[in-house]
Amino acid sequence: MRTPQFILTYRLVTVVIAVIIILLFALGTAGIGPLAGLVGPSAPKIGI
Amino acid sequence: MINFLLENGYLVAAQAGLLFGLVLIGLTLHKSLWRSAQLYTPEQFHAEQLKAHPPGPDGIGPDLAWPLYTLRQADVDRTLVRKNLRLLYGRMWKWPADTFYKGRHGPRWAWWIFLGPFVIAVHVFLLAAGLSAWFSYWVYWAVLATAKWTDRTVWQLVRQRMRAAEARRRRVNYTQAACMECMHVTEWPAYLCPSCRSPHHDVNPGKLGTFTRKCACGATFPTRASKAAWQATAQCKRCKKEMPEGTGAVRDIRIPVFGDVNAGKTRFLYASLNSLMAEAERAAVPLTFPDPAMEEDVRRARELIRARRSTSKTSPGGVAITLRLRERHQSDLIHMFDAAGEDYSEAQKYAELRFLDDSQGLVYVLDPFSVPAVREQLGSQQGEVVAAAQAAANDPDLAYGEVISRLRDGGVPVSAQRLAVVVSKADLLRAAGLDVPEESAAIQDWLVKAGLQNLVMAIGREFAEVRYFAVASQEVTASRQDDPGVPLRWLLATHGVRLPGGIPQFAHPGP
Repeated sequence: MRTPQFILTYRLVTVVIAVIIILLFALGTAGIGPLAGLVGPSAPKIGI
Repeated sequence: MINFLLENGYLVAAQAGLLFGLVLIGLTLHKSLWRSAQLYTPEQFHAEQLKAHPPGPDGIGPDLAWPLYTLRQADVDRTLVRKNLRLLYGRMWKWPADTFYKGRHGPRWAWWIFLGPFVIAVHVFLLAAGLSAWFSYWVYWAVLATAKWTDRTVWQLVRQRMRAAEARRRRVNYTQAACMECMHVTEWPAYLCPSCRSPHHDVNPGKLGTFTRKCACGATFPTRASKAAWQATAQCKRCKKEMPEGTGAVRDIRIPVFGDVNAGKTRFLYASLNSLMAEAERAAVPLTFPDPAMEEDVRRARELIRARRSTSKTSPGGVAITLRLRERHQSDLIHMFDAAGEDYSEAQKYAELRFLDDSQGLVYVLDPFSVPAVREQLGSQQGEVVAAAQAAANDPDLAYGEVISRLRDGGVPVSAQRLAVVVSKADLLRAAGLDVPEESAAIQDWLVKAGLQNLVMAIGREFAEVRYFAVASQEVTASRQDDPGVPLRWLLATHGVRLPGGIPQFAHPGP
């Protein structure tokens, strides 16, 4: 059975959103982008 | 380069692992959502719904169409991605596990003692790849979970509002669907898929789509009867007969005409229709008949009315006429019913009078020549006039009582309906020298004086609004005395039908 267009669109949109979030995290770890303050080198250190 | 690797080997392995993890999730998504994707088919969802909601007494089950993505397909996709990622990541561990832990490629101690840094680097690489791949999966999982949550909250609210708006539209515009074949009236009809013609019984926004619905065959059409009615053919849910275009979206007014045998019901029906059609022609408003055979019947009847010849008596089973005033989205469907007078008195024909149960307004045709007091006033010419008028034989109370009993038995709330009491054959009364008033209150008094006070009292008590009209079922100029179109126009105007030439100022105010 052929996959309907709306299912393909949904899949594409969810994957694209996930990729964007992953990229933001990746860039954040390098100190770039909006997540830099959360996961980057300048993020507050948590630990003992 | 070698020095760099020797000094930062584990760091390089970790970074390479992180990047490779992204490749892993990419390959997994490609396989799970594209190359070897699984579909949750309409048939699966239909079977599931059928189990949860078995068909009711009407035999109508859930519709066969693609469910919303977030409802089932998202779960299928997510499960498949997780399974494939686990398999792929597991395969990556196979060689290291076989080598470093199971000793299948030489003694384990040799690997760990002589190539210890390499073994550790491989572990770092694989763990970093796993971390990156599974982190990506959980991001994908979170996106889907958010989509599902949004669908259950925000979009569910949108769908509820859309359904409420549709219900309000049906209530305000009287857009129920009436089948002229089996007289079944429903809030909305079934709509046939424009491609495969399979019926969809409930096209409201829901699990099968918010704005549009995708049939199992792949064709797409809008949800909501107000939209679907213009892209899909309507079908009666009971008898499966196709219904006129726009059914379920346009105003649908049903007006039965009842009365005794020979009271002049058929004559009134065609004469009032003739008046309405003449008015529409003058105002250049399109008035059409969805059924060509019906159009031909009406054309013949109009010729008889204009030629002042008698119309034939209604055959058992009655007459049902459907006409469309205006075109497409602006149109109103008007149904008029006329059952043979005998049908009202025969208990076994109750089924044929189903149209009475779902009407918005009723017309009661009262033959003045069947009233004993009127006959007495005719004096010596009584026999001749009564014969010429082909007067109804029974007391007017009788036909009225039979119809009211039928409505009460059917649980129809009569107190919410309007009744037009039509004193027919007004021209013959005047020709015989009897004066009939023109105004509603005066006609009511005239009937009371003629000895029908019980009938008049019962009518006033039982209906929400009653008006009395005296008509001559002939070709009478609209808005003139005895125009048979006035009662029909009154009932149509009270239900919001935009009449040709505007809403008339009825000359007969209520009692």
